[in-house]
Amino acid sequence: MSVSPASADMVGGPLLQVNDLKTHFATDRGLVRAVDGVSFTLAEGKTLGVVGESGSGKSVLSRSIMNLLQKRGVNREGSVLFDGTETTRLGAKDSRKLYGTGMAMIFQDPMTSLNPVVRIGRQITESLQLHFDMNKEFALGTAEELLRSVGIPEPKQRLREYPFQLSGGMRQRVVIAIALACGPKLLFADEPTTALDVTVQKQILNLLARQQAERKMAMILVTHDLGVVAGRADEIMVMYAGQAVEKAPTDKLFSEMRHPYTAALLNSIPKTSDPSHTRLEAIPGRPPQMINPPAGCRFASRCGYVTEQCRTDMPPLAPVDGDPSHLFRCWHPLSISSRPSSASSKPALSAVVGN
Amino acid sequence: MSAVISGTTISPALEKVVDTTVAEVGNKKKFGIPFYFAAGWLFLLTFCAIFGGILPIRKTNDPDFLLGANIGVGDWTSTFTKHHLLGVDENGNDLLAYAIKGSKVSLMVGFGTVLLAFLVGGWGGMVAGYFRGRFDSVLTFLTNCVLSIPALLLLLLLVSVLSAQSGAVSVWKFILTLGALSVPIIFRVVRAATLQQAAREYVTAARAMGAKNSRVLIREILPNVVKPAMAFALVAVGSVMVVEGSLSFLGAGLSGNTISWGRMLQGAAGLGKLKSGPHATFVPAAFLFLTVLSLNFIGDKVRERLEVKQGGI
Repeated sequence: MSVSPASADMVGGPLLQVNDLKTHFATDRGLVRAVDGVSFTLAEGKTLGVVGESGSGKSVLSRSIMNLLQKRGVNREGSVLFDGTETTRLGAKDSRKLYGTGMAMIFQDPMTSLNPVVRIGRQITESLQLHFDMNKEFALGTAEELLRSVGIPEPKQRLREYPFQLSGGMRQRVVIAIALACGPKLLFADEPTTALDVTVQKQILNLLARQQAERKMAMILVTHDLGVVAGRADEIMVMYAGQAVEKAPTDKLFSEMRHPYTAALLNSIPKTSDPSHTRLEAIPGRPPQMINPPAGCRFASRCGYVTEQCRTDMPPLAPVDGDPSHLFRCWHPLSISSRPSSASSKPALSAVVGN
Repeated sequence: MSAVISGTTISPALEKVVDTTVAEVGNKKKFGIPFYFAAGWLFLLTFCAIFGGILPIRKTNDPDFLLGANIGVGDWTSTFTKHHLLGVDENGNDLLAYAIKGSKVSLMVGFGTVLLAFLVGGWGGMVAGYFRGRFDSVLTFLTNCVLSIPALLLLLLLVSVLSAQSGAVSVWKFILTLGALSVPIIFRVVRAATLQQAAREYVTAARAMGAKNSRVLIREILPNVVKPAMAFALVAVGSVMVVEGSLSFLGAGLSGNTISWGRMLQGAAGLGKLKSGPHATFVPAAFLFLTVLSLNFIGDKVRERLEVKQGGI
């Protein structure tokens, strides 16, 4: 598969260029192909939404780009070009310089991504002192400002507290403050709202969007929820079984989705417009074994439109009608009429944005 | 703090209520009176052990109470005087002074051994648990080997080798021996705790901010491992003291002029002696009993507190 060309509205050149990235885990039962040839580009200040169900390889993808996976038993191939640097060839020391200042990550569960026995102040100042040689007092002042900017009240007191003294939403704000501390150009948000209350989710997503706009920071928003990325991502990549199955600018993905899996994902979101007691559509079956994935399309066993060709030949990631910004991987793409929600795209998008 | 989560303002009064409940949960359970007794006993003992030389207690070997002068059969009670609060043994030694002298040695052996074991086994366990790989496999295999040999046998062997070399087993040699045998146990405890912590996301988060392995190990994992290890260490100190007592009693522990509780027990052993002067056995036994009980009690309390904190995560 080739490098997917940048979409027309991207300016300033790509910040991140991932080309045919493969991440395989050697296990006792065989090679697990967690990420199997993913390519994309991301321009400065833009947001890419990565969507997929559990086990689709979306979390491994972000960790693999950042090279945070263990060395042992992990086989990583492909190229990751970040800000003009080929990061896959960087040594441990040079990689570390990039962390925090170049790329940073926020994690799913703020209960576990904060060190339970270390005061919040130190957790924030740690990287400031490491990367910028700040003295402790100045770093603490900066940390206080950071906490204020992510909407934490009485930041001075919070600096002396431990994570367990804060609520989940506040903790996630602290995690965001830590990630933003060194002014990264690219932020990975790995399911940042999955562990939070619905009421807090929106606040956190809005906070992320605001910070992103202020800092002109690019973001990769990983989630299983199309609703989370719908209104916030510039482009969406849908992943299934370690591969990208559809990639398009957000509007286009919702209005002209081609892959049955994308449609199935969208259908499995409950909509407020549905009458009560509407049966929620689920995708039957489970994702395929990643040790010996089927030869053909990986979604074949769960797809409603499956044919013999799907089971034997892997469809290529091809552009829609020659439009390089919209790619999909299917032998039998949905036509406009067979799309799930309705003929018009707007209800589909607005229904999930409302979430 | 909770007042602002929803973005709305809550009246100051309510906020105060919210804050106090959080504070109470944060302060956890109370320790209770037995805890303070245990801590007080250990404090007193440590104080006496350190300042034993300048305390106004009679020296050992009081010439007024030479052998047999006051301890006839059934007459041991007469040795309790205002100068000898806990009586005098058959050699005319003041038992309180002896017990305090012994406490110095027993505490040194207990804490020294555990400290040594933690310095060696703790670091080994953390490094093995964090980096895994061949280093871990080799160390784990070695500790399993040591642990499969009966500890008592190994101890007797080491002690007899040590005493054959120089005639007497000094406190330091004894600490070294016991420490070396405790290393595998501590290694396993710390390694297990490290494995658990290394899988936590905060470790990945620290690495994602550019922390080196050494930094992750010392600044992130160590504080999380130290606290459960502390609870274990206190109980371990108690066990080591009991081991010292048993070994010295059997004549396989400390030797030479060293006085410890175990050696006092050894000196007072024997059915006849137990009849003629039971206090000579009872006094060191009581010191040992109270000390080990206190250590276990405090260890339990420390663990309880940690469990509350873990639950709060």
